[in-house]
Amino acid sequence: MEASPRTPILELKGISKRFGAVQALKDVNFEVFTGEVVGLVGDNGAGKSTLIKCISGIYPIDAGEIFFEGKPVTITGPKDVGRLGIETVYQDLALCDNLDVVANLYLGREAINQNVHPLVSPLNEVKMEKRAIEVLKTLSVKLPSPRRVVASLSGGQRQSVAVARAVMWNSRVVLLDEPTAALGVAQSRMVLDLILQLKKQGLGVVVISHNLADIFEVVDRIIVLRLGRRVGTFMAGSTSREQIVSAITGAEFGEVEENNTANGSEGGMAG
Amino acid sequence: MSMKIASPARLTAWAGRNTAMVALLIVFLIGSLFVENFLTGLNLSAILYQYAIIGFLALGQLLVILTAGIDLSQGSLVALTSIVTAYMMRSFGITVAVISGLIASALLGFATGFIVSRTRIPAFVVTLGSLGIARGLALLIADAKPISIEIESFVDFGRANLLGIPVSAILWILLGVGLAFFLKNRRIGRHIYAVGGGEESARLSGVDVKNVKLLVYGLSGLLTAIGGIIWTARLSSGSPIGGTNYEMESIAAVMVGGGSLFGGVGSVSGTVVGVLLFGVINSILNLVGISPYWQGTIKGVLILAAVALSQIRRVHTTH
Repeated sequence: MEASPRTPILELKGISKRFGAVQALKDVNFEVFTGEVVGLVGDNGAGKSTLIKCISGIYPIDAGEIFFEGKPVTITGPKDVGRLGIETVYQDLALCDNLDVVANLYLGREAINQNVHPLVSPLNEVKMEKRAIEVLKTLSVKLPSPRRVVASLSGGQRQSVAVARAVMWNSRVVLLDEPTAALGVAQSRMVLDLILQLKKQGLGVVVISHNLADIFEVVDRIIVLRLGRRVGTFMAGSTSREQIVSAITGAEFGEVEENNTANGSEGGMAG
Repeated sequence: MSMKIASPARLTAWAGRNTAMVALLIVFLIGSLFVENFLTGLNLSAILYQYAIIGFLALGQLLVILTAGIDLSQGSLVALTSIVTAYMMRSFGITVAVISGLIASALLGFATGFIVSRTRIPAFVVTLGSLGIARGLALLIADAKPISIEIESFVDFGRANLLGIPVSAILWILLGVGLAFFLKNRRIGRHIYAVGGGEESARLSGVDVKNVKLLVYGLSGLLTAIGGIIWTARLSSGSPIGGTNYEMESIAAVMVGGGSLFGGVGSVSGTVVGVLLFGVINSILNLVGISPYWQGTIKGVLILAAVALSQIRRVHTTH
């Protein structure tokens, strides 16, 4: 029962997104606070990935507002989002298989020697490799070599590289789309530990997952989407898995009333 | 050190990575030992004269293929460049003519790139359209007849050589070295590889995929135009029907040199070796007196073998 309402680091209000005849998101509110892990769950087609892609600037939103640290922001592309300190790790890993680990970590923001024009400046490979090794070390990610082509790495290693890339830019908010879907038990464990590490560092973390066991292990709050609407908010500590499943499938609730006033301390509407 | 380099395991590994180079060495050796008049300055420089032109096209084709695209318009662009250059040379002199030829082809290349990057139409279809447009324009401007060039200094440029090496080949190699450097050590080069390695991933990472694609087709047009200018000088006339199937040779050279039509894989050095391999094979087949019809067949088999090899390599690298 927190008394002073905190400002979310990232807040979305009334987000709608339509693809042709499909209303992928309808009037969705969303918020994540610093040092908090939010689980975003829902059935296939509930709009989880669409919401993530709206936040990360891949899809322009049809309606709604986005606030970062309480201030309204306009997002027109991935670069805007990167500038705010919001990073995304996509389900398909978003790595280029033909490039090595260092090149992937720096893709789109390669370090260059600043003395010449950006178009013709040589890449600063030494700087990139040094920093890459540093980041991988602090995250305890073990790789044969940072110069290995990503295609030759295991699923867990690739996921680790993807997560490492997301957090190495002093990010404030990290969005993880199915971070453990393709991983074995030990490798999932590693990624979950990584998530808790990010929380400890004060980042806002959003995890999309089908795996409720994973969700319950790391998240503080669970937001449920169904058919493009937000249908429930639950505190992980005081909710059973069955309640979440009901909200996801709509089994008990029918059209569940919305709960848009979550402020990080609320018990949720499932009583 | 010398022991290490000479060790059979290392040699095998090197050969596995440089199939085209090994093939070139073997074919060159066969030519030198068994084919009369092969290992002569005259013949070697003839190979370079002829294949430096394909070489410029192949450098452009490499850039396009690295992004998982393809440029079928190159042969027609050679014809368009040659006709525009020859036509303009009649009234405006060399400089204006050459620049016009370069601009015509580059413009069409950028237009192609614009359509490929801004629509979902496959590059195969778009460049097939450009192929038709360039050829049609060349025929229209020239009224379907060759345009002869009387200016001696331009014709001389086509035959010029430095220490027995054709100037066009030297230009080609210099440009290739520059391009290799650009691909390896510059941001845009990195992004060209990234687009081919995973277009969606590159886009999500903030790579300007659209403009990378626009650029590679534009550069392909420009590099093709350079080849076209040299071709025109060698021929001392513009021809609206020239350059037919040159794109097939440039595509083949890129693939034989380790490039993959799936994108993201390929190199300037491999491409240069691929071009030289086709040049040497072509020369041997000519010297031995094998019919041109067989030559096409043999090249076709080589291309298939190269694709098969690249498939095998792909399977190896993804597992």
